[in-house]
Amino acid sequence: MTNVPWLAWIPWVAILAPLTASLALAVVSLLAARLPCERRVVLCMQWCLGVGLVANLIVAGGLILGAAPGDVHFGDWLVAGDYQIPLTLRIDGLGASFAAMSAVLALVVARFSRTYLHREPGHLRFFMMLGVFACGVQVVSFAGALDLMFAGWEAVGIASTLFIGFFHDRPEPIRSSVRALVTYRLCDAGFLLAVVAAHEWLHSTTLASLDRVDALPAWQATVLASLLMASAMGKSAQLPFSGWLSRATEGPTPSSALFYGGISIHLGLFLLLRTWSVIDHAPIVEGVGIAIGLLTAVYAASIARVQSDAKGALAHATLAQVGLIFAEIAAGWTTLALIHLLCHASLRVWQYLRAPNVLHDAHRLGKAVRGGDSWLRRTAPEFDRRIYAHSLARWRLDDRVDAVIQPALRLARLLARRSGGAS
Amino acid sequence: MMDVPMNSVEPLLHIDLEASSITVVVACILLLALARHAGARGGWWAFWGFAAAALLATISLRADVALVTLGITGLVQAWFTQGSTRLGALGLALSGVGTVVAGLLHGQGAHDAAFVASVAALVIRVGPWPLHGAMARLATRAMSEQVRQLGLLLPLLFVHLRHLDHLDLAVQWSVPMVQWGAASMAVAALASIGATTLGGYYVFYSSAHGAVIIMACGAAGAGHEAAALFAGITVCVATGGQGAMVAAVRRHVGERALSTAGGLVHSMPRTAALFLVFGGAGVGLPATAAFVADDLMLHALWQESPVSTAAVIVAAALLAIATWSVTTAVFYGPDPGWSDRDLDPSERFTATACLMVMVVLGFAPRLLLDPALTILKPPPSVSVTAPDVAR
Repeated sequence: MTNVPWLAWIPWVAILAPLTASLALAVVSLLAARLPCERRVVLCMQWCLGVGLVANLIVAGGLILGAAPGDVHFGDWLVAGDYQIPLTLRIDGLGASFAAMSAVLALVVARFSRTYLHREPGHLRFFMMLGVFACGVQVVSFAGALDLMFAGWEAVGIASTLFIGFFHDRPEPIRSSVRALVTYRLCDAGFLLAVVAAHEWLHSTTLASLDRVDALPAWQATVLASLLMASAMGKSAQLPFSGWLSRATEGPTPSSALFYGGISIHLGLFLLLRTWSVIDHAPIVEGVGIAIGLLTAVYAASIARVQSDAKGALAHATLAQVGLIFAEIAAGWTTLALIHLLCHASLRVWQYLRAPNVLHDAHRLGKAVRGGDSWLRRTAPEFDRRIYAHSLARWRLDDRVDAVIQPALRLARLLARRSGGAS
Repeated sequence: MMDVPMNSVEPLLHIDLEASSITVVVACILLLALARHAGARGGWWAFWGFAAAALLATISLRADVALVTLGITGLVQAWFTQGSTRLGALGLALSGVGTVVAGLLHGQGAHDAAFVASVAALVIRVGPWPLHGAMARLATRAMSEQVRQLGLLLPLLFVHLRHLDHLDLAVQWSVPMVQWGAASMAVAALASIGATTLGGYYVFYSSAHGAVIIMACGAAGAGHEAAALFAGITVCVATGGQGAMVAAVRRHVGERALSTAGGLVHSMPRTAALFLVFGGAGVGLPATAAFVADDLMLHALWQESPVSTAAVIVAAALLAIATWSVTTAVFYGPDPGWSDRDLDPSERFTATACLMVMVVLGFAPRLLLDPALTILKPPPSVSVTAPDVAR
């Protein structure tokens, strides 16, 4: 974006506006004798999200009107010896479209939540975390280096965990938030390792340097691609990390719409699109990605068809599509995947926000008209019954994951007991 | 800066305070203030005395003066602590004696021996697993002293990095220290998941962060002094801040078992928020110094041992999981109807100031790193061993 220098600064407005609102609300809440009132909280956040949206539209408009896409280097965040974290933003169609969509959806959800969460005890908390989330997504969208992208990635994960545990008076949301965090953190370890490995092997973590991955030995490219894919699998709830998604809908409906319908669940896909140059050099990882994506789609579609609650059905229907997009990316159809992603995210946010009205509509419209027996039920009724039973039990995925985790938990308890942490 | 010819008598003080020294002193004073709020003994006299000692040690150009000063503060703190926990007091006293010995040995020109004594003093102070007994007692029986000792650990680490971590021996010890630190952090992080009380969790949380300081010292030996200082400041402020929040919870409801929902967020919302943020700041929360410190340390560790780097990344993930689990167990749940008092304004102000230090350093790490890179270079007095280092 060298031909329009002032435009290069606009993404910073999109990044910092929501963060400023959240920080301001946090400091006021900590220091003031009384918490800020609902109206001020909403105004502060909506204005800042609005400013962020305008900034996004300016960037997108600039690109459409002919500004050259590219990386903009704003110096180094830090330099210590030979180690640097470059402050680089990538302004291109992929980032701008994802960022603009995120900004629109965040503002829509903020407006919806103003009414939906009126007089809810966690009103302030919700809007503060919304700002952190919006900032995190903007950072991921515009980051030109893996370090910077990881910062935004983490912010989204933290906001997601806090939103799942939003209704903390009940035990189930708390347990669900812990499960989501376990998945996030363990998969994020892959991202962090990829950042360090990229620095050591490519001597830089900028996205531009990832294009030099063809100079690496095949095993290093495969390791790098595997780490990035593992991280994307966690965030996008691909098998075997899908268990947390159905529990994640314990949060308030607006946050479910934004995270598990709209943006957060698609962030893993965005990471794969951003680092496609690495994935493209690891054919084994591509093959595994296609298999995982398709398996997830089948798994989620089977569960979505037997769910009895609207949000559960929506979550799995979303996951089925996300699995398909995952497979599309791994197959190299990146443009199709981007279009699929943007359309799907927008549709799902609308469906999630409508979810509370579904019952009302059902009552108004009467019983939904259902078709006759499915082809599978007619041709192989026993097999159909088995599929139904397994889908109802969600293929016992959580039990299988728990079986892997339990030995580690037992070891942790033993260590704690022996080392004086149980007293 | 005062222009003093270095071939004459070595000056005692560095009049031109560098940004890194200022950061160390500010963080130390904030932690001392948090300890004071948490009920540390000795009143304001102790607070100002410790703060003055930390300032003197930080700006002193003489390693022996700095180390002896900090050693004496360790002994004084041990005296304050003996009424609460004898094992904790013994640990502080041993660390204080080790620091004094390191200072005296350095003054005699026995730099290698001084380095060993200083490392031993640091190890006792930070309590990495399995040597966490004394610090665990402080954390369970005298939390205010634990917060205070974390404050005083900062100048000790600074002096160690500045005066002692440039020797040939430091280079040789680098990899073993990194490996021990990584293993210790992994074990402590795993154990923190199995803790059954708030105090038990904090014991392992602080032990895991103590291991980070051991790794930082190891990495500093291989030339990553600035990264080590950055990580040290982050760890001490995060662990100290969280300790103060644990103390606040205990002051009101005593030790918390993690098997039942506490519901304290209803009566102590600010304590809950700060507990979570300090806990997150210890495990690389973005927008705080911890994120940068993590990045710096991982890079430094990879050069010493890639396997240790992977272990540290997994350990940090486990620690984050433990922190969130404990937060939900202590603060979340139905309102128990207690009328507990949240942090008072001065505590809130001090804790928020600690957070601000973390946030400012997170957004502008070069404020600390650039001067640290200059000030932590080997001082002229160490040039005696230069031929060894070169060889």
